[in-house]
Amino acid sequence: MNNDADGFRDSGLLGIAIQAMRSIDVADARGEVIRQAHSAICDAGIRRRRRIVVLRLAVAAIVILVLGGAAVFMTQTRRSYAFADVIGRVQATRTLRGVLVDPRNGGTLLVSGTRTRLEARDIVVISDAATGQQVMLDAKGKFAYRIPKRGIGPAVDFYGLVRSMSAAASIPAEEHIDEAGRHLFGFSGKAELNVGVGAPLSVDVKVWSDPATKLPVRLEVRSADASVKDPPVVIDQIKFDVALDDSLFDMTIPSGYRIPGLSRDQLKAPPSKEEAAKLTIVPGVGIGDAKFGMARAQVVAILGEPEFTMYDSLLCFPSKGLQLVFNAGNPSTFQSIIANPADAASRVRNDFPGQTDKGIRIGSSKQEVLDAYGEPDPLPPGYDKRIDMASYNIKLGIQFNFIEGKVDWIYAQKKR
Amino acid sequence: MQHPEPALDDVVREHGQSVWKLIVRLVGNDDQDAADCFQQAFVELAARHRRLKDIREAGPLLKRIAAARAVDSIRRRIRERGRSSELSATLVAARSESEPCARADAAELLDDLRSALGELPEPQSAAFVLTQIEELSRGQAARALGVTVNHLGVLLHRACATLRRRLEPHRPVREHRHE
Repeated sequence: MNNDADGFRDSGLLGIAIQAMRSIDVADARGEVIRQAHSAICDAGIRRRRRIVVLRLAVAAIVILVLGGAAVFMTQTRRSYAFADVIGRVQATRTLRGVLVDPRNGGTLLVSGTRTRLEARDIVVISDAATGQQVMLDAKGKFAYRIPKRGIGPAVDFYGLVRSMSAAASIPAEEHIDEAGRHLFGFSGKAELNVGVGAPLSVDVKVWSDPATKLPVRLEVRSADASVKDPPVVIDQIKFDVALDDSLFDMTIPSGYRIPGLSRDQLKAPPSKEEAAKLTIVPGVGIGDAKFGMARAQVVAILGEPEFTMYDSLLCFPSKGLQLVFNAGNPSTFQSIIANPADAASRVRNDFPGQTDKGIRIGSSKQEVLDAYGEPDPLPPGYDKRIDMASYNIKLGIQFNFIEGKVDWIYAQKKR
Repeated sequence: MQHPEPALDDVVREHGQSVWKLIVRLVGNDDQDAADCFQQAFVELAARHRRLKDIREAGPLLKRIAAARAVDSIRRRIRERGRSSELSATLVAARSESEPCARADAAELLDDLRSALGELPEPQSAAFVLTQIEELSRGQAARALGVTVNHLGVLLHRACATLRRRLEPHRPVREHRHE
């Protein structure tokens, strides 16, 4: 009854159905349909190099890894609900307020032009994509950090990203009913986020918009990697053109806050070769004569007084490029080592001048690490593959992170 | 040799009508649903634009995307209104079955075929549509799907097996009618 181009044949009902479908007489597409497609392609072509709308805010006190949130708007073509219309309406706004729904870092998100402010529990992060500046205020500890760009992307221009909305395909998603009882139309699809470091992040995205205003109301972003069990990042209750005072985006450090860390003129000279030789990290054991499990006083007697401390549990030696982590127990004991710490308070420091027990230093190649320590532990499920590292935390109690194939950061701990 | 990036306007011009016809056949109407699928297909193609090395690749890939969006539309319609009952028999002009009864049968068959396509995994439905409805060669379809020809054969075999099962209820009725 029916043959395909390579000789497949079905002589039953399926063949009849195929033949019937092929035989449907279809008139040519109307000019309007073609014009809409041209228009959509034009939009997508302009934006394809800036595909994704993402808001990323760093909210981290020690190691700057925590994302404030990510937002992606996607194409949509439902009737009376055109993609271009949504983009145009978002572009016409100047500010927005949203609720970042996240059990760990949830809070209120405010955006005004290129400036963003995230209020999450005791933390406030203010950033300005135009200047690349980011400031984090820790109200609990009364710390203020000027977040360095190193290791994370620069502050993201939310509206700039809105303008570069993805051309990713979308399909209708389930309806969402908001707190006001409004039925929101949703679209879902896959997209790739350019978050400023490494390869793009593949995500599944849903966006719901208000049918009346046609502006997005809710966004949901989840890793496309099925092994990642993290809950999705959700920005909900988005309202545009809310009144936001300029003072909310002021990056002046408030009085009463102190900036941890040292200034350039406070930084001491790097250790001498003899001193550096003593700074040998032994995985699972400690550094030099300072052993994991020792009390603070014992460690201080060996390595000297820290140049500053944070949270009573971090002993910071920026001139040595070293940070020692103690637990919060009583007595507090030595738990782990960070060589070349990357937190905001350590923005002014020397490189760690020491080495590991197998001669690995800051700047050693990845191959040298693999030759010295062998095959790393398997990467945990959901590991962010954009971070280049070799972890021996399970086998030995040490981990190396690389930038451009060179050791940039070493973490050592008591063997698990 | 580096191929120039295909001009998307040329893609619309060259493939627009054939993509439109595929969508209408799959969706069962030429109204807004079909127009939405049509637009989505081109927007998605535009997103993949940089990966295209040759404009000749665009046709099969575009049809694969269009098929996926059309099947999504079928799924949505089934979800929203239960099994579709609005498929227009007037669109069916089967070459060998032109009398009213046969047209109605064909429309029912098509209705069930569409519903069944909506139940298939996307690679299977795409393999079926590209080879059976669009009559692309298995090589072209495999390239559009990003699979080997052998894998395409597996997808097609599974798709057809499922579709045959789903269409089986039509058999007694037809046999009875022709007795």
